[in-house]
Amino acid sequence: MNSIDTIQGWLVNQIAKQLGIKAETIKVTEPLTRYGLDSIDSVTIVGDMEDWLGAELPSTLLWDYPTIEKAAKYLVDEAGVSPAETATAEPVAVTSKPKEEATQGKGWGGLWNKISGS
Amino acid sequence: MNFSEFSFWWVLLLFAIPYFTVRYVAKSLNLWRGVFDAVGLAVMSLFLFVNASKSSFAIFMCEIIFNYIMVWLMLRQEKWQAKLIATVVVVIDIAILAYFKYLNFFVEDVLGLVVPGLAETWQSKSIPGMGSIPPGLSFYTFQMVGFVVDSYTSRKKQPIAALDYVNFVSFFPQVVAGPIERRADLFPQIENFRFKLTFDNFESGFRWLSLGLFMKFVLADNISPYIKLDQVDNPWLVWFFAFLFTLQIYFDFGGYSFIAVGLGKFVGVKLTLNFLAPYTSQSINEFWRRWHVTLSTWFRDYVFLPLMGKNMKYAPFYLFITFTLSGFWHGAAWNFILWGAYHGLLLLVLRYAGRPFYKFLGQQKFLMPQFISWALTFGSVILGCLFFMETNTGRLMQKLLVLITPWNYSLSNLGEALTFFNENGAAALVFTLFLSIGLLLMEQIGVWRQGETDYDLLVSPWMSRVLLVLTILFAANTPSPFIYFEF
Repeated sequence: MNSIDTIQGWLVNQIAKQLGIKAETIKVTEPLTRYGLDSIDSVTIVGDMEDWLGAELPSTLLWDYPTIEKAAKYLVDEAGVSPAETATAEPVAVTSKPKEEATQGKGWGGLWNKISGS
Repeated sequence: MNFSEFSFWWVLLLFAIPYFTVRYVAKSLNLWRGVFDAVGLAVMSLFLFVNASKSSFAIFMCEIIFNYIMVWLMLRQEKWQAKLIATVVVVIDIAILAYFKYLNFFVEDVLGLVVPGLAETWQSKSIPGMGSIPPGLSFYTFQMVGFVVDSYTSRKKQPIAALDYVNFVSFFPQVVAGPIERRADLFPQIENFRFKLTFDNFESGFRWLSLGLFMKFVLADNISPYIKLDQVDNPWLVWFFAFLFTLQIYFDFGGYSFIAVGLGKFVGVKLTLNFLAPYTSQSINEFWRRWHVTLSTWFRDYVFLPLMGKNMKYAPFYLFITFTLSGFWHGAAWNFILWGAYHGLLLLVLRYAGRPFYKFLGQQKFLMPQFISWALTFGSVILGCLFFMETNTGRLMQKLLVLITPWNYSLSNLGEALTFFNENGAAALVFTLFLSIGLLLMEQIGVWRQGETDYDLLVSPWMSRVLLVLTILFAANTPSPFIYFEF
């Protein structure tokens, strides 16, 4: 697992825990506000992430990079952060590609999801 | 700058044509120096500002000189001395804003509540600066305050040239009504400024300008005359006018912001997008990431995050306070405070009650859960706009009472609402709403496509030309004043 995947996995788990939703339902390309992430959660998660990575991060990280994919890419490619060997994320069912059934509901809801690409 | 006024465009051309002619000739004779570009931009910005408002310009010049000298001093100091200077500058900047914008409100509407007759006595005195708020004061004060704080926290402490500072705070497309730019975004583009008059910049600027002009002159200005504030008895009409205002305020301020972005691009400066298709939001959290972005991030960075620090215990309270202050920034009146508090409260409701609701929706028990989230969000925004549009607090309360009384939603009231406009008026309004919904739909498609911006379709080459033609054909005869100029 490379650094970006590790950070994405950690973020998926952390956001799922913070918001009380299933990790499988989180898409890394979806804006986090779509899952109900608010300003307080954003700051909390960045604080936890600082502890996890042992690095100082901008409090506004999840505003400036509003999807898991963008935040992880920024951290690895631009901020030069890499999770330590021991600091691996808990395994998650889904990182970059969510299960189809998680986003495709039935009836009109499913159609709407298809239309909106969510 | 007031892009609705002919004089803005006239003065711009009156300056730009001779200036760029001289520049072209001097360049071909190898007599032009790069610094003349920066001087030209500063002169153009200040010239346009003085044309827009002499009183505001006078305050602006005093603030520029004061802020520049103080930042210059601050950058030469260390630790507590630098902090002291930064604090003094911020306090004085905010005090100037408070004097011109909030003193009347504080004396008449706050102290006046407890001291009988104070409001009348106050009004009878002629105190300088107590008329209308100097245009742009709220915006340039925030930009200057942001610059002081960012310079204080910046690791690089090299001196800032006076000309660069003048260009940073007075850049003509955005000085009066934003976007409120930050040091990290705008200053590197403005430092040692050079005009970048390329075809690509011109084309890109034209597209944003075309979108902005269409939103303002066709949509906002054609919706504006239909909004009747004095309708208080019929809930259908109260909702409908709040809905129209919701559209108007976005097209008005969004239009302004995109014109500013377009003008910036013409000279090679990339301004921040102040709006990111806000009416596609599926939650109030998302709405505030898409609405008046530069003001929201200003409050986030200079109010919410410093208030909270590492102490998360009171974070919900600080969030509420931040939004209430943000409402107060918009105007010195109770309705704006209520509007800010309403949005702060909505965010907290969403945080504590919305999550179980999201879970419920997530279980797919409803058809189109995302549509329900969108509709609830948009409905909440419309209700919020009722607070925003109604400066008469008594009438606002009357309207709220009408809205929450179930039997007011009668069929007879609905019939009255449906026949409220005459045939011609209704046809023109329906046409404008058709164009408005078309534009909002294209924004939604832009969000789905996840392109570079949510406005990719609307600023595509063919669409910008269509929008320009539509603007020429359907621009309102009488432009309405920009709403955010009052702030």
